[in-house]
Amino acid sequence: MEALKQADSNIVIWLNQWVGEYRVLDQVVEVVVSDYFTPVTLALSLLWLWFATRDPGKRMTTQRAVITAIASLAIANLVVLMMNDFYFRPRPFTEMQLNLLFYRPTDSSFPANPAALSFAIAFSILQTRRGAGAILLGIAAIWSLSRVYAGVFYLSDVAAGAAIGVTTVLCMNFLLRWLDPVPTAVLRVGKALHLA
Amino acid sequence: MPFFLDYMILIFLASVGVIQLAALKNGLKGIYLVRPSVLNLALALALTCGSFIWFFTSEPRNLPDDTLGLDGNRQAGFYLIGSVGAVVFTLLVTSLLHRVYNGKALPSNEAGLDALRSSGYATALKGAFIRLWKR
Repeated sequence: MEALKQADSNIVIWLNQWVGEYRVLDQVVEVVVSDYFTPVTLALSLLWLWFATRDPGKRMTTQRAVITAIASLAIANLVVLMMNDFYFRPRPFTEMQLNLLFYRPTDSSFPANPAALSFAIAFSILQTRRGAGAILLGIAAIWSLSRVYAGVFYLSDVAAGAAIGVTTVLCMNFLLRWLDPVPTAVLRVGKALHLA
Repeated sequence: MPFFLDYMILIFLASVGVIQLAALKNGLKGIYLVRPSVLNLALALALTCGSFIWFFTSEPRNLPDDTLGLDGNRQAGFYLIGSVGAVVFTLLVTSLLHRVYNGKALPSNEAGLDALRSSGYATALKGAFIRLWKR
């Protein structure tokens, strides 16, 4: 366990050593790590997927995936909040000398909420739209790793967050199969109103 | 301007842009804000990219989410308001524009979003209600 913790710290130190070396990279990372750039991009992707799919059959499965993504991110957020109540891990910058590219969050480092949310969205879409899902997975991975680079998460926090996101989607698939009348009704009303 | 207003403006403008990009991809001419596709593409890209550039360059945005910034729940709430607002704005404005360009056109018989390839939203919705009434 101690060796794992040490490896975790070493990864943060190794990634964070590059902060300040390349001004342009830091400026890009400062935008990417922010609380707004990636979440808004991911949410806009869902809006795009809802309206942009031409084939009616494919559109129906895509819109179901969007509904799964929204439900999964809400549940993943809840799971992380509940875990934070039981376990508090200090942020890397409180335990090591790091160059921060982000403000100093006060909540638990483990598990990483941004990773849970972004991987929940990406994995929901990946199940029906491989191309779009792969792009969203890439965005989720970049966001998560950039937070490690910026010194606010350990890699294990991000890995745990991603695992929570993916697991939530798998559970949500099962749950929504069981609650199938709900998404079907949403899509039927949307279609009747020419919105789906 | 309060931070949440900046955020809502970003969401609203970017959502209007993304809806236009999606409409262009899907051929939903009934909800085009500008008729020539090239101009609509330019407008959509300007709205989407411009809103991001404005938001991230106008002021520092790495603000603590428990004081100056927005926490996750408030972000989600404002996102919902901004994006639903963008959908409503798009449907209202394009319905009016469609009426101005096409006059009293007949509603499309197609279902769902496909109706918006040839009809404005208000016309398509009217057609849906007429079909429902006749059933």
